[in-house]
Amino acid sequence: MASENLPQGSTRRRLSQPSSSLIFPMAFVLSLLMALVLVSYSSGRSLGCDLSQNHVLVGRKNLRLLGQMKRLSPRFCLQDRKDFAFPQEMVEGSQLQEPQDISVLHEMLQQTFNLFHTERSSAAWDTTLLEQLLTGLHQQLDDLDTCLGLVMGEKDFSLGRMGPTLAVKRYFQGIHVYLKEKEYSDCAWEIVRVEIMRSFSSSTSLQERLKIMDGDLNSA
Amino acid sequence: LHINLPTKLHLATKRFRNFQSVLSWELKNHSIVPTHYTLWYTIMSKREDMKVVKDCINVTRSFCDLTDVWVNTTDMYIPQVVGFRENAKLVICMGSFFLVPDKPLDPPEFEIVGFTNHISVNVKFQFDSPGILSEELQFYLAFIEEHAGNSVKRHQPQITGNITKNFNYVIDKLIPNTNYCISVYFEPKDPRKINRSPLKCTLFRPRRESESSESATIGGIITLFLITAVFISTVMILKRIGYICLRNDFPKVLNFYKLSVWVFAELPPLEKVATVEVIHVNRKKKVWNYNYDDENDIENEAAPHLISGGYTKHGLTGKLCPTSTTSPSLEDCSLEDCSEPSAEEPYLPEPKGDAETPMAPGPGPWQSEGTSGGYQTRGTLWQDPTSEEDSDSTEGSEGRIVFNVNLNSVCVRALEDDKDSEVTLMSPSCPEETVELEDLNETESSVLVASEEGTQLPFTNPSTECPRPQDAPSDKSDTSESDVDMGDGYIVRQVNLKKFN
Repeated sequence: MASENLPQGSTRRRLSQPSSSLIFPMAFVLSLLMALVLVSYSSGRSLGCDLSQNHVLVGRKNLRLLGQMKRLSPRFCLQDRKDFAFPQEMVEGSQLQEPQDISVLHEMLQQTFNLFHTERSSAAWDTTLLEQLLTGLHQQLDDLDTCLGLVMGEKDFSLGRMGPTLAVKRYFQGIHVYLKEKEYSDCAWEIVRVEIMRSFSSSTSLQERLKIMDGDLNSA
Repeated sequence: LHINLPTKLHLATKRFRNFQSVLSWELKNHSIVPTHYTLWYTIMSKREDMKVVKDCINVTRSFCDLTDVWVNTTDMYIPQVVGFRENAKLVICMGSFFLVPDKPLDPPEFEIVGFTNHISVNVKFQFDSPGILSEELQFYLAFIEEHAGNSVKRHQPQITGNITKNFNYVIDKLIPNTNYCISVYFEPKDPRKINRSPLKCTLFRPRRESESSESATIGGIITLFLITAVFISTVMILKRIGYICLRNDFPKVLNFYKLSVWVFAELPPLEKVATVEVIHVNRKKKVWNYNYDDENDIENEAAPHLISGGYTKHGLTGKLCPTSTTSPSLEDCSLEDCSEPSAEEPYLPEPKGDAETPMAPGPGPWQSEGTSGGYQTRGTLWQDPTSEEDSDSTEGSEGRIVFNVNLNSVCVRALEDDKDSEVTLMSPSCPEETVELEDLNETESSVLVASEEGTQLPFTNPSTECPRPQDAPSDKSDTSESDVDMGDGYIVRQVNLKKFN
């Protein structure tokens, strides 16, 4: 059977090729991907909450200030001791996720700030030390507010009602009730000061854990 | 009798392999010294009674190891030491200790630069609040460890309380061509867990070297590698999914370049046909009245017959011109029964003599020399491939020509320059000159169509001058069918031709 070539007048049907409009989006995606690689490698910073060394130092300073605020020896207030049921397992436990850790820590700092930022507290403690303590607490709260915005997002309301945070709220509510019952005596404030030091010491463990988690993200 | 003597309690933590809490006491007045001591303690977080330390009952030493007793590092302990002399209490001493786990301070960032005869260590402080740093640093000591082979040497730079900037420390007295590794860390004055930095090493040589650029070079190479890998993988993915680099090497089966089907707008007919112009001639049917005088009239007349299906049957005569002019066995006949010869030509490819007709896809054409039955055909004829055997079988045997033409719309005419060339369908010498109805009926449904057997429709050779029916000797045909109306008209009928040679 004889075969013939296509005459010049005939047209060949060409397969469709991707239009040029698809090339530019793909190039943009590629550039963005490369930029992300560069940024993540060069900066070495994680995308999560970053509690800096300064935050830990401020917390340590606040704890030391609480110790310096002692006005009488605790051994003279042994009869005023009270078990406030501090939720130590919830604060020091490792089963919490990072958003919950930050929420608990923020609640503790905020309640501590509210406890010492009253007129009765100003009457009970040294003004200079008290102001330094409140300044340090406020600085730690500012650091955590940034972390809460990054980590929690729209879930802040739900985390505020979760178990560990509610336990911390109930704990400080008991302290307020105790002070009221003891009529804000010196021994009552001393018992409260020691109790706050105890809870603050537990929160520093929580801060260390958050810093370790952030360090793991950076190294990953 | 309780004698309260001035005493001093001191809780010391000694650095051993594990952190230990040892409580010791010291009497300021040494005039009355207890012979033995007993230690009790309680906590502030709960309302509990004093508990005695079992290992510190009636001890003569003035210290007690509480490492395994005071385990809660977040509680405040209230110890009570009672000094006895024989059975009398001489002294009671109480205190309060809050065991805050002094968290280790993270090591600072630092850089090392090797010179010809020393190494410079630049320690950087990256804290946001320098004031807090100075307060905290008073509780720590900074150390720089120098590792050279198996030897470790520790340096202690002097840090004052007002440090707010980075500081630099020089390590000299080095061994040439030796690799030195430096580590910087803070050690609490109250010994706790030390968090050492990873080692950074440099090879000390008499010439100046910089490790900072080396790490930057390695980082740049790794970055470039990552970028290249991402780019290559992206290109490969895009190519694989078909966004780029589409294939142009189509399989040959898809190559339509060489197919002649692109040339023509429509497919040629599958069956081989030959162009025949039918000239419609109204003939009056004549019934033979047994009068031999009306032969000529009968030959020249062919009455049209209306046939069901809208066709009008006319008498057609076809002429098969023999290859040899020596035995013209057929009379000439012509197909002149055509109403509009110019407009109603059937769309048949015009034969081109021996030239090939265009091929249509499908069954292959059967190209015939047209010698079947001794007659030379013109052009090539399409044949149903299923009927090749039949055509081969008919070759050399009886030929069969079937015409099926709608005479109202087509013209059948031998398309020749030579007007005399005619298509002879059958012998004009058939005694039955009139078209019998029964014969017409037989051909009624076979108007110019190729029979199922693939009857070849021979045409006269244009170079052959076909004898006219009136000139040719009346060599009677061997047709078995009815006769054909010869003359100017054409007769549509089924004709079985036989060899005349």
